[in-house]
Amino acid sequence: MTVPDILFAISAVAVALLSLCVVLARNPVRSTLLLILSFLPISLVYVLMQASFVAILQVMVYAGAIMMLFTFVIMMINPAPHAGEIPGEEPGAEPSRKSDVLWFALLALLGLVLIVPVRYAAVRMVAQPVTKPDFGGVQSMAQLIFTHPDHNPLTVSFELISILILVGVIAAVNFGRRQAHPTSGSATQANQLKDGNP
Amino acid sequence: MNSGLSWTLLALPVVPAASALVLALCGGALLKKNLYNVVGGLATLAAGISFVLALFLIPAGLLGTGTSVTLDLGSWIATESFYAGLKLNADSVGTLMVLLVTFFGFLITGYSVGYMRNDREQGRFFASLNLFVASMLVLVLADNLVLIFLGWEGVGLCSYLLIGHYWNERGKDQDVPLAAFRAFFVNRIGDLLFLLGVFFLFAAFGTISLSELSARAASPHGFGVMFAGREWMAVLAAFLLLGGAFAKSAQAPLHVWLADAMAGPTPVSALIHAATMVTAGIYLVMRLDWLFLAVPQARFLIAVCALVTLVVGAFMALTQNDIKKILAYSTLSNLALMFLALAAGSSRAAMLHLFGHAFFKALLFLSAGSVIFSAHHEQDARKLGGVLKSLPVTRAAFWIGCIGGAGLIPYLSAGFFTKEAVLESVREATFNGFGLGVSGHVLYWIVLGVESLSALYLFRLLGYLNGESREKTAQVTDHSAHHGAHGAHDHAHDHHAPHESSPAIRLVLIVLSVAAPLFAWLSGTPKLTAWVTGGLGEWEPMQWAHVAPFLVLNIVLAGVTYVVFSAVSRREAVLSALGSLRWGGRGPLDRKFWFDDLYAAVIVLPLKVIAWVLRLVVENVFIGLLHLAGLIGRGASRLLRRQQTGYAHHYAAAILLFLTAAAWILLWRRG
Amino acid sequence: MSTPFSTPFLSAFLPDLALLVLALVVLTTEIVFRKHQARWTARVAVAGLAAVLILLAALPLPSGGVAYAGYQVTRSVVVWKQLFALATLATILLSRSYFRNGHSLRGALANPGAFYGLLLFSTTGMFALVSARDLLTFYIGLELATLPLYALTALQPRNAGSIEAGSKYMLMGAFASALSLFGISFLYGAAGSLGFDALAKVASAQPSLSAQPFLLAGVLMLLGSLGFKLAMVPFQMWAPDVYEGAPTAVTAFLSTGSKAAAVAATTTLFLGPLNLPRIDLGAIFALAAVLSLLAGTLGAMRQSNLRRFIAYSSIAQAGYMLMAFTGGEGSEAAARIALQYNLLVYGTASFALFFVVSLVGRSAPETIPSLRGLSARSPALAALLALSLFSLIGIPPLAGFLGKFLLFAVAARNGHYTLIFIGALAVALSFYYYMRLLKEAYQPVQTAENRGAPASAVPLSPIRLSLAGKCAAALLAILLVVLGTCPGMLNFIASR
Repeated sequence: MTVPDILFAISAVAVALLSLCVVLARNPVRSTLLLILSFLPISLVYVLMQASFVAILQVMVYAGAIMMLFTFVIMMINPAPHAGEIPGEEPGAEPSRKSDVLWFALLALLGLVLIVPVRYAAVRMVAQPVTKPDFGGVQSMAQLIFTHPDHNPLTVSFELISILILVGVIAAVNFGRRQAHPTSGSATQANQLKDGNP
Repeated sequence: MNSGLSWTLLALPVVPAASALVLALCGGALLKKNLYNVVGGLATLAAGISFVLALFLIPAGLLGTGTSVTLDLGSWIATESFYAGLKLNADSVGTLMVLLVTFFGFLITGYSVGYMRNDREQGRFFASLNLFVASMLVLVLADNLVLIFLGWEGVGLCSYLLIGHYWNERGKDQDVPLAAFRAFFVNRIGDLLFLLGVFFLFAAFGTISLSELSARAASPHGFGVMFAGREWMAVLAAFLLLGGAFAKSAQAPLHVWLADAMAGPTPVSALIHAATMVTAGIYLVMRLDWLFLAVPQARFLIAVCALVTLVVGAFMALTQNDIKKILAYSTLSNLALMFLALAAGSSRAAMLHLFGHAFFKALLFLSAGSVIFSAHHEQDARKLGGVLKSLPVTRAAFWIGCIGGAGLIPYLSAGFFTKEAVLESVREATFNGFGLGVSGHVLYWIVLGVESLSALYLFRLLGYLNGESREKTAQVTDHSAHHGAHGAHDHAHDHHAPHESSPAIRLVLIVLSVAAPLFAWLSGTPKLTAWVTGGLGEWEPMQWAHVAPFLVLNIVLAGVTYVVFSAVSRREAVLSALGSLRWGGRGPLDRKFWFDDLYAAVIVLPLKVIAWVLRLVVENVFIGLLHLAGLIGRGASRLLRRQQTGYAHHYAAAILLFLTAAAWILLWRRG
Repeated sequence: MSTPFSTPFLSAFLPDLALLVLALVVLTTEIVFRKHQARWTARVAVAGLAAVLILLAALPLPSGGVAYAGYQVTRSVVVWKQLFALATLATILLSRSYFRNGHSLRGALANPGAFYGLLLFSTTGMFALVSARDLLTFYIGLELATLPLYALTALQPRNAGSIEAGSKYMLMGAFASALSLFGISFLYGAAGSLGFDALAKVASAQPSLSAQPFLLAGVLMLLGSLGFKLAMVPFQMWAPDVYEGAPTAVTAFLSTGSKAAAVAATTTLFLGPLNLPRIDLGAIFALAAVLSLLAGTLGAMRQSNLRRFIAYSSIAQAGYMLMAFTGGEGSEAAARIALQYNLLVYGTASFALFFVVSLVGRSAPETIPSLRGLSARSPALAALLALSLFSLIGIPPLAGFLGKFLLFAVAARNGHYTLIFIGALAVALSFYYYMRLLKEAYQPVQTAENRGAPASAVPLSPIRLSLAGKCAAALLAILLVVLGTCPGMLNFIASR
């Protein structure tokens, strides 16, 4: 066990635990804050993988900017007047706990089972430290994206990502947007979606 | 590759097909607006365009130096081992058939404008008629057997539709739907045999392209290489294809549908059941002549069946009283003549007679149609005594047709030289097969004798129609009764004196009355015969010594018959004298030579037994199994719906479950 | 490798660029036209797509294709793109009436710019997906194709079901997306590069998949994410819910365009760099095919909601199409042709079905009992329904038969006869559930016996088609027949 190994183990466990907390927290604000917290060990993993530029971006952009937006939005729409209550879900409409427990048990079993092949793989793969100068730095990233396509293949992907982001914005704006003019027509009941209710 | 002329080949069937489509879609609407002539006119125009296009093929297809016009539209069905192209080909035989089909198609569609003018379902009629012309053109132009099959089925379908045209109007007393069904069913048997034949041909030779097949047959290696251990397949294919040809061309034992097919409108009988469709089987055998030349047993079978049909047709025609049935049975025996020529190996004689027969039989049917139309759909010759006297154009046409059919006058009878050619070819051939051998000379005399009956039955008919009428008064009441029976149309007709009715009918009759003798003259001129038969064989000098007895016999028979049957008293005296020969209504002629009984025993009864057994099995076993399967299905379905909970996390869990399972399966397989 | 702005480069990439520009233009058409916004937006989109289709068909392409960075255009790619563009075009034509009031019981659609824009962006994503030459472009194309569909599904805001469906779809989509990213990172770890060439080299060097667990993990996870898009069992569970909730036109696009994109993506990957000769992924595909056939068939049997019915039918159809991936080495070309032909046929039949559903859905809920009396209300529409269903079953003269035959033939190459037997069984069972629709359509209405729907809910007024509707119905019917009777079409696809 070297020092990087120990650091990796610590941050990996921290990421897993914090992510679990994000999901399990009943208060959205708390969830968001926990998510920000979980980004820090992730950026530590990036550093360990010699990707220092990505690590810095992770903290600056995600933890710094995007998650702040999240928090603002959540605070603006103020979704949880009473702590511990999820908006839009009526207290009586809890899904059956029994089946959930069964599913979780099954998943946990699967996770245990999955460890075997992953462990098996890890033994056979020998990690080699990257010897390229400036690996993970700003310059090499820029080269990867912007220089001539004969040398590297990411130019088109990079442009496509910009379209993807644009589409994401449009999609987000329009997701379930209320109409300007209400129209005739009846809405079907949401809880009829399940099978068996024709 | 595809020159401008080639595209004519495509236009030939496409024009009538398009017209058929238009008429099928808009015919009803046009008729509602009383645009009767537009419907018939459009159909005639389409057939006419096809005919004009066909004329363009003459220089290259017929007069050219053995080259043919082809159009290759690429592949239709293509797999690794099987190829059927959309290829049309008009060589000399094809061009001849195209000319025949479009010429008669055009004339008879035009005739129908007059004949069908009071029919409310003209849209359907003309659409089917145009579709028939298109299908028939596909049949004769196709270069491969699958494409031929397409046309083959198309003409069969149109035949069915047109026979059943009067399905509700007059059909009740005439069993029109049953007649149409019989024709369709017998043709289905033939289609099945044809298709099986194509399969075996493909299995034997690996191709279904006619040009490739005949090119291989003409190669110096010959059949030894072609068959290569699969001789039995080729022989089987020849027999199966023959079955298909027999059904389409109404040869015994598959001839029973043709007489019933007369339930259709008369122009249909003229076009489909005399001039064109029924020759499809002959065309097929002609196309595959290399195969039948290599399989003598098949030719022997052709000869036997054709001989039976010849006899049956001629004798049945003698006893019928329905005008159209007489002509139908005469068609049977004429088709048999063509098959005999094919059996003798002479495609040339068969082709010649195919043309001659088309001319005189179409003329006869169309004149008969004119008579029937004028007499308000009365078809019984006995009740139509002297009807021709008031129909001058029809009378002339009928005379020319009868003289042509009986072959009385050289250079005027469309059937004279053509029958002579058939007889010559039979005389010179020998027929061997199944360990039997028959000399052509024997057959020659039989055929000559039977064929003389054509003079008998045709002039018997003419005697009825042109002679004295039996009872004027009975005729009138009959007519008014019939008139009342079918519809409020046709008020303009004078009941008492039938008269020439429609200019379209008269015009077509005149054209054909000129065309038939013209053809007769053509067929007797050596150079022109070679042209007419499209290089199918060398011209053989006319053996007048052989012709003479034929000629004399026929003229005498025709004269005597006409004299006997044109007077009521003589007619009845002869008939009562012959009545004692009828075996009390159970003789071969009344039972149609027992062919219907044969069918009942060989096909209908076994089918009924099979159906009965199947019904037992299905009702008791399969239905039970089906119920069981339904129960299992419902249970499984309910189980499946259980897991469709509507919760996303359940769905996600299922995905992970499958992926892990898949990972383990793959790892397990390695170990 | 060609440089930018050279002729082959332009002719290869012009359609994609044109589509992208079109999507942006359509997004802003609303601003230009104050009145009849939906109509004008649809017109612009249709005209633009027609232009893209013409570009795709007309522009010459060097036989080896053109490649630039992570993007490549070959002839088979162009065929895929034509399929996508056709599906989008049909969807736009189908959706036009849904912007008008009173054309659906579910309420009218709004935001035509966003609707058509997102649809076109999704198509752009599909174009990128099939053109990908590395895993990153592939992933982004996949996302770009799917992301707009979440919003489209939720674009009927008066309808709570629509929003629930959109949310559910997005949630599952995010899960699948995570799976594919995870899988791609494993593959990157195994190959050391994102390029398909490097991946193929590494993959073919392995004695077996399990000898390289990273490869195994990557392949399986990618399979999971593509399976999600394919609606292949067990990744299919979102399909009935989403198909039911989405606006009808979007449902049509999900079951045709999106499915075609998923099949194309699976072909690109699993008949491309990951078509590993010594690795039997065929077994996994065969298993998934059997499960999909089973689930689709059983699900469709007792469904009365038309959209859920179509969802299950599309799951079963995915099962048939998965059979093409079991052919093993040397079957790539045959599998690709079979899939492309099948998608064309399936798409045509589906749009015919949706066309009928959209007309019936104007005055009745979209359920199977609502079809009752259709033959009396509009014989032509009932006949179109019959043609479409016969084609979906695969009855010989129609195109569906040849499609199924080709798929079965690919499976037969590798001796998967059990699979073929199960497929044939599924075809036989599909008779039962497809015929249920037809039975309703051709059953005379007896108001006393309408158990499924109350008498008032079954309007017997004749359905009148507009001229455009008549043309569309005739075109669909002709296509269904011609595609089946002229298999020469296949050669046309194969020659591309």
